[in-house]
Amino acid sequence: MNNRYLIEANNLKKTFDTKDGGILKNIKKSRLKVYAVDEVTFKLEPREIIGLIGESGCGKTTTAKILLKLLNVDEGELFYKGENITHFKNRELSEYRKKTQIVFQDPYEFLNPRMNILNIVTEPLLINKQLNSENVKIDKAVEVLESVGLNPAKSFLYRFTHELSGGQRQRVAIARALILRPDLIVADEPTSMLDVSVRAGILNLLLGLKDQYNLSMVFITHDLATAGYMCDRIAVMYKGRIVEIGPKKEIIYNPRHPYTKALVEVAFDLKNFLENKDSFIKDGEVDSYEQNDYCSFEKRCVMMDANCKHDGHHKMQQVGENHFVACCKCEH
Amino acid sequence: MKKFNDNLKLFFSNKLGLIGTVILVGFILVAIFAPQIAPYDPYQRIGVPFGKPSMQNWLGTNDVGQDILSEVIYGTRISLLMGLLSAGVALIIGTIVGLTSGFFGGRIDTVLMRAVDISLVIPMLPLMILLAAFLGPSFWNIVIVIGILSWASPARVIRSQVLTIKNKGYIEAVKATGGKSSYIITKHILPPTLSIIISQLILMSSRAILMESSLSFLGLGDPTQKSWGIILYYAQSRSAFLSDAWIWWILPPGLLITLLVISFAYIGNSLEQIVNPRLRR
Ligand SMILES: Nc1ncnc2c1ncn2[C@@H]1O[C@H](COP(=O)(O)OP(=O)(O)O)[C@@H](O)[C@H]1O
Ligand SMILES: [Mg+2]
Repeated sequence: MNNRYLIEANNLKKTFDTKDGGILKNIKKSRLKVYAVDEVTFKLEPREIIGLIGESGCGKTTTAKILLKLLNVDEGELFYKGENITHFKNRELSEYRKKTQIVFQDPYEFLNPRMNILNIVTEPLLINKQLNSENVKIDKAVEVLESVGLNPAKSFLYRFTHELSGGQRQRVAIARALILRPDLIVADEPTSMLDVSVRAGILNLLLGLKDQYNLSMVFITHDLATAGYMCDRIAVMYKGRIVEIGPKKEIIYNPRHPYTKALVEVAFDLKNFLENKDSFIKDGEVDSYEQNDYCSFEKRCVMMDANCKHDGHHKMQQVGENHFVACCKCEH
Repeated sequence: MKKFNDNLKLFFSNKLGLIGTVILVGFILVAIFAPQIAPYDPYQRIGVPFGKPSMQNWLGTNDVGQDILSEVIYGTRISLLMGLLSAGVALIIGTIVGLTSGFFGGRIDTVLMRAVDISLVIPMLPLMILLAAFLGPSFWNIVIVIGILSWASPARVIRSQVLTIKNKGYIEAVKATGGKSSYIITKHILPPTLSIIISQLILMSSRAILMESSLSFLGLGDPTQKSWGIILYYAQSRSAFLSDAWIWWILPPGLLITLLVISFAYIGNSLEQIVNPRLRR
């Protein structure tokens, strides 16, 4: 492996056993496997923003947690700067933990309501034993709060999260993620809980920070338009698998996978999509309990036919420069 | 601070909680100032045996001529102390089990919760008698026996609180920055669990006082410590139930046990309604 890439995710797989089913929960038969993340492969260059998009439940958050080593994979490998960290445990991970941070969807959940902003923001320093004195703590907190646009920073230090607006909270969360000077920030739908009016501010902040601190980002969203604004490359996920990945221009102007086409239409021509819905996508619930070896989009695809049902057809095919699709109907 | 005041208001808006507090404060004062309040030394023979109530001995005297009123007043100390200490032992075990079980989950959780289930269904009194008889009657043995028989239900309550906190995003965030389990438990899990631990401590004290009285009454208590249960034991063994003496020898400690148990239960219940919003009406 060479060191050109910051992160290489190789064939990541993660299944969950569900135990719901009431009193039957302990009976083997009713145990179902959820294919949360399946054969996910991608590479991330330094200073690159990759978007993970897809509908709710398609495995975006699970992928994020795997990348941050908050979940162990069942199969597959994860490389950081060329080093295989798949099986790293606590101590070996300490360097990686400093260099990768997460920003969650719900800043209220993400910030301990019992701690003031000063303690929230400097907690990563405390955990990594980089706090020597109260003065250092305050200086660092002020510096990082200013860099996320919370001014005057001093006036925020002793407040609690419930006194802040949603946008301010998310800025605090970003400040906290930033204070250890990471290489990678995984942002899991960072604006989906915010008022539309403050979303653009957070997005632009992230873009500015990326330039200022040479960050890479995994940016998770279910909105293609947002992904188009933020990302260099976009990976479209469906039922745990990446079905199409490529430069954002390719994905938006030249989508190949039927699911991507539907997403593009929803984002950029909703009227047409609604009028001709049946030519884009079939209705149906996502059933992540079943997975086959030819197409995860089978049940909702309008192009599905017998030719699709050959094992291996779910593998990625190259259709353009850096543009890959998992659909046998999309080869040239 | 504002939240604290709100909770205080909520607590005192509950009449039973208020009554319980007043009673408990009364008992605590009696326990502290027992030497000042009691007319005699309860270990001193100051009158004839089996004396009836009189101006000198309001509740009469016992079989060896000690003042029963003084015994009862000093008994507040022992009963209160035993109750709190036993509940303390129960809560130490319960907290450790609840935290470990809830936080680490998996196999440890299964094993510990199985143990909780078992100790909740086995009949308490026979086991308690067995243990107390085996260990022998001494103040600390009684405290330990009651403690190790009462940890299960607080453990379960604490575990469920830990489970709700453990799944909060900020715990995940702390893990992502490299926070160790010990750090997460002490900094993020224990503080919001503390109020539940305290309300459980109060509830368990109520149970523990009852258990201590039962053990003592059955003759398994520490005979050198005059708790209310021990007073009852001596009264019963000297056939006080069969004579008029039950009115001054048995009724007072019996009523006081009931009153103390009720006051703890009232306080515990109204605390629980504050710390466990699901119970709030
Ligand atoms: N801890 C878990 N236990 C069981 N199933 C889970 C767990 N986490 C996620 N899942 C399941 O995995 C799938 C992917 O979830 P997730 O990664 O959260 O999706 P997304 O973030 O794209 O909405 C869903 O079907 C979800 O129900
Ligand atoms: Mg999600």
